[in-house]
Amino acid sequence: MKTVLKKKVNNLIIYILMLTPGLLCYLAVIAFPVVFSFVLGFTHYDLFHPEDTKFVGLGNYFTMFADPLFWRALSNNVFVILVSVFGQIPLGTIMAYILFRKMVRFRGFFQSMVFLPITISTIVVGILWKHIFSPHGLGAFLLKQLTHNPDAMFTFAVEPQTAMLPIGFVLIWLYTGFYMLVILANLQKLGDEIIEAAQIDGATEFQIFLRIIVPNLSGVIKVLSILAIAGSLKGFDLIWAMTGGGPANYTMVLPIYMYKYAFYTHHTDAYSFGSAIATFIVAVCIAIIVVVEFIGKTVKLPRRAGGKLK
Amino acid sequence: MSIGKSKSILNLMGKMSDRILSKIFSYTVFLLFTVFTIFPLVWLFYSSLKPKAEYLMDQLALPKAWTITNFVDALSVEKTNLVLFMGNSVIYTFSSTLLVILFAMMASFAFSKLPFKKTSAVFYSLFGLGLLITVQALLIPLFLFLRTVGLYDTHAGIILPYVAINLPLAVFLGTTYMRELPDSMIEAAEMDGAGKWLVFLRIIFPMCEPVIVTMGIMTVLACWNEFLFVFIFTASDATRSLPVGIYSFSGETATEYGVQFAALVIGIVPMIITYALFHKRITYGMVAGAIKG
Repeated sequence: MKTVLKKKVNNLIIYILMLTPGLLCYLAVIAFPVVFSFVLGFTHYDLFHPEDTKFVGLGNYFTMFADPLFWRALSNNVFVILVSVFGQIPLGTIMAYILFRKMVRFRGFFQSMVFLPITISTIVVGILWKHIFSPHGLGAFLLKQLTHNPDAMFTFAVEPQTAMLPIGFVLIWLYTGFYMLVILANLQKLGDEIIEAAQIDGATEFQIFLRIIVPNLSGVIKVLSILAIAGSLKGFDLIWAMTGGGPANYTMVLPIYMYKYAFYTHHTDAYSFGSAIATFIVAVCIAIIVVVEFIGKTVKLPRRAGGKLK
Repeated sequence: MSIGKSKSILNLMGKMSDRILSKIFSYTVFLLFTVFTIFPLVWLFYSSLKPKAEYLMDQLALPKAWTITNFVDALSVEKTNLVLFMGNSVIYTFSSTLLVILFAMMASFAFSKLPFKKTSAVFYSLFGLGLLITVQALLIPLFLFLRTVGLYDTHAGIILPYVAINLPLAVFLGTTYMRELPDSMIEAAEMDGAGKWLVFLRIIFPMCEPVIVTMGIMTVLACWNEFLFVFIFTASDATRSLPVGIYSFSGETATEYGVQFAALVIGIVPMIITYALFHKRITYGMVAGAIKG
């Protein structure tokens, strides 16, 4: 009896010792700050008069929704989400299928070439592409050479209507490889049998892809969409390095909007209003995850054996 | 008979054109991606070896007078601090990764191999919530917190957030993996009189090698390439990391193209070498890390 109790106490001590370092770190640096930021977003906190801090309810949010810059940032974020969900994921799926069906040779080489950009620092990649898309950069030079017109202007990276296009292009170039590999891993779990059966029935590659592969991957695609949307909402580095939100805020997105308000433009309510923006980003992320989960549950695509995530 | 034959030939031709079309399409897509990956990198490499005057004349041409002055300038201690930044990046990456692995392994062991299942379920889901957090929600409170406790602009003030932000995924991977490990070996060791600590160090750690490698790769990549925390939580060259250093450098030397390209090459080359050496494990680690639920 005594030894059983001793063992229990002993186990408890070990349990506490094992859990404490990680948990403490997590609570102090993640959990507590998130709650703090959430609360701060409902206050007016003046940097120079912290004693006057008062609760303003949704005040910061009303101010935010009245700011045209906020709406531009949000609409640019929607653009990034659309590029991710309807650009990167479909392209990644098609490319994974091509690799899976061995429709190209040098698969290892191609796979590395598509995936390599992700392993490089996004900031470095962003600066590199900035030099290519700049009106004095490589793109401009190539345009002049190709059109034999020394006055040809390569300005679409700095024009209001088209400033987001280079970013969309780099986003596809940068992240498609990731989706390709995740989907390829799931295709390999799916196996060849279904496809071989369909081929015997005379189905074309296109039909196989659309009728068999896509429905079977719906679970993974759902998870990847959540990842893509969340990633699109919080992505800062690439756009910051390529344009910094400019020119004239035309490539502003929510994370840059938040960063600039909180740390860059020296507003007196930088931290409380900045926290409201941050909370908005988190809230939209969670809301979208819930919606995608809900769509995934209600819209049941026909699914054959296998293909489930994990 | 002849109708049947022509039909099957037609079928065969249809199949062949289907195959040819999908081949053309497949190669086009992959070649495009390959060109867009190789061409900017190759262009960057040779441009970094080109004198500035030549670059301004012709952005595309190969250098006529190959030179390494750009690299000498980029690395010279008098002109830039890139060497220092690289050292900082190494410190951040390795200390954070070691701590993440240690803390995550300990927490995973507590969650999967010790009693107190109900308590574990609560704390485990608490860590799970961490996977939903976006960094934006942390910037302001952490900035205030680090300033209050005097860790703003210090190495510890970067390592601590790096450890915390990478823990949830590592704990998830570790716990999932350890749950699959058989209890029989632990019980056998305990019969021989080994305590839990010994079991943890001598049995669990070696058995978890694959998942430790995955955790390690994820954390190394995340820390080495991280930008925003260092950008906001540091103010001096003594604490800047390579990405932040390269970023500010590119702002300060806007028209010094050659030196700037050399700095970018210095930022890219370590990752390309790492990827070339460990590409199987990196891709596996990133794919496994992404599919967390």
